Amino acid sequence: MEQLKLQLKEQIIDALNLEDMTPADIEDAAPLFGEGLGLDSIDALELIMILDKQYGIKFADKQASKAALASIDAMAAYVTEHRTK
Amino acid sequence: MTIAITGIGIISALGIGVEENRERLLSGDSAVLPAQTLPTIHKEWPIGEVGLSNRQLALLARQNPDEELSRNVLLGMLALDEALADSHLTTDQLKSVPLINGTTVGGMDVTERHYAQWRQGDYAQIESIWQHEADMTSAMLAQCFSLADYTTVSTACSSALNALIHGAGILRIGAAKRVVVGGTEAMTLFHLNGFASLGILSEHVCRPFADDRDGINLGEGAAYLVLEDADCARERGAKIYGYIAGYGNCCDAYHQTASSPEGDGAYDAMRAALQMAGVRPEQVPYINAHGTATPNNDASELCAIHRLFGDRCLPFDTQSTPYIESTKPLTGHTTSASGSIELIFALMRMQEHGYDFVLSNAFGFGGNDSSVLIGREAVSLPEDTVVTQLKMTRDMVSDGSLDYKPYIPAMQARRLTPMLRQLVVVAHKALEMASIEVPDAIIVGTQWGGMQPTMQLLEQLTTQGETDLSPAQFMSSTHNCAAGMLARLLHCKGYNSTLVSSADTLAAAKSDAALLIMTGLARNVLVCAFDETDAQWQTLLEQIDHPAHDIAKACIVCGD
Repeated sequence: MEQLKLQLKEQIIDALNLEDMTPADIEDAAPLFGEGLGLDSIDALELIMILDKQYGIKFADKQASKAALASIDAMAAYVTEHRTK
Repeated sequence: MTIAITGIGIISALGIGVEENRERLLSGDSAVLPAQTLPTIHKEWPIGEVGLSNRQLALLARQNPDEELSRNVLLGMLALDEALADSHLTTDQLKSVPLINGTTVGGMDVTERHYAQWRQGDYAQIESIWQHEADMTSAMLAQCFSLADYTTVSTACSSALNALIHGAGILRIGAAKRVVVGGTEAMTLFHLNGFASLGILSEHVCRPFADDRDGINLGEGAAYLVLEDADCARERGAKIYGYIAGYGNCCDAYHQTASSPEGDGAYDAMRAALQMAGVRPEQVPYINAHGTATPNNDASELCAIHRLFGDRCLPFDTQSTPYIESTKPLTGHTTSASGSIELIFALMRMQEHGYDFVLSNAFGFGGNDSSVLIGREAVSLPEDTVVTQLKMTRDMVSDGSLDYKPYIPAMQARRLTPMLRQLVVVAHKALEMASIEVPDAIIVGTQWGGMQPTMQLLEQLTTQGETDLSPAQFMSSTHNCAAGMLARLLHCKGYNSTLVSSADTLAAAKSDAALLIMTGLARNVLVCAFDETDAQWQTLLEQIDHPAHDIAKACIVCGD
């Protein structure tokens, strides 16, 4: 699980071009959107693409993706349960 | 002075020409269907296409069908031809009429057809790459009708209304007696897949303002209006459709694509249009809303309308005053052309119902919100040339190595290409030099727009087909990305526009700034020039001996 979290952080930093950040700057439990890291709706779309390409995850609706993208903890749990590759 | 509308021309999915469009507008018959002409795999997202092939369009426009012309130019030619003929101006008079044209895609359809071959070093028909440039679309249109000059405005989905606003400025300072203004936009794979990446395309005919609305339909078309000094129009006995009573261009300065919850930019633009006309909200019986049918746009726009017109007015409610409608379920969202297409629809509603005033909105990415008010009777615009002398600071120019970190928060920098970051720095330096914190307006000139994201998306579409594109890259590929970004970083909610030019881009932006200041709409303007190179793009441009350059320049233009 720790390995997956690190991997997700690296993928986020790379995909969203957060060039001055390291995985250590992103807390596992902190919200990724709004008050936390400060990502926006476009970043959410980029993250959905990562989950599709890297882990073969497709979301049925917006609510499901919203919950899955809430934090690194939530993403790691969702990926573990739903990954198809 | 008073500005009369003395000629109109339109082509859309509803039909070719004013009469076909009027007929289907009145019958409320949608032309949004699965793609037939655009070579896309995405039949699940219906679009509003003009139901003719490029060859058929070329024949109709009396062009050689074997010559490759972008669909954008072909659509533009047909609408422009109708508008100019309708104005009954003589060939001689047309020689002094400049074209102000709104477009974003330029000749992207041509680039899409050839890119697979060009990227592999097969440079047959490489000269067609000239058509990619949005300003070339305007140049070809102006040349076809022997017009005086041309200017290209590219503020994404509000381009055509901002072209009208630029044209009105030219008339108000007396630089011309007549202008022809509007916009053209053809469907391309690039923007269909781009909008798809944002997750906002609907699989049904779109439902603006409905509770269950689920996104937009794209569409294509072109529309132009001849605007004329009303005295000249009366003197020559021209037919007058209505008068430009007021206009507003304001920036939401909120997000790259999303509208603010309260609709600040939309509210400011509509209010500015009414204020210029000296018209109270209750005098406006009709609004052609932007109404794209995304949950975000419609909520934000309706909030802005309620703030200005009172919260009892409901869209599509015949008892409601003003009557609010979106005509996008009929035509699809014709992006850069939507401003002029929908302004002509508003004029048709004015004729149909005898309205005294009609208001038409067009909003674009980057928070580029514009609104134009048309009056049935003559309305004289506020005192025209209020400033005749302009002052300019010297140009601040980046060599590509300026330290941007003091000026751009890290989270903002993540979506800015290296030259966009340089632009922010020179903009700040220009403002510092003029001791201005927030400018009244921001105008950017560019030749190619955001070429780095554009090339990455083109490359992906060509090598991987119509797969998921990056929404962040799509947002940054529009020409007006730089001006919208500056507005957000500088908290500037005033006038915001982007001009595309194949000549001196800073000079093009300065000329728009001059209109603004001379007509009293701004005291000072941040004027910038932006272009960025991309290795692959550079290789292609070298084949036509036209190397691109990294450019980030800024200066301040103000009244004396």
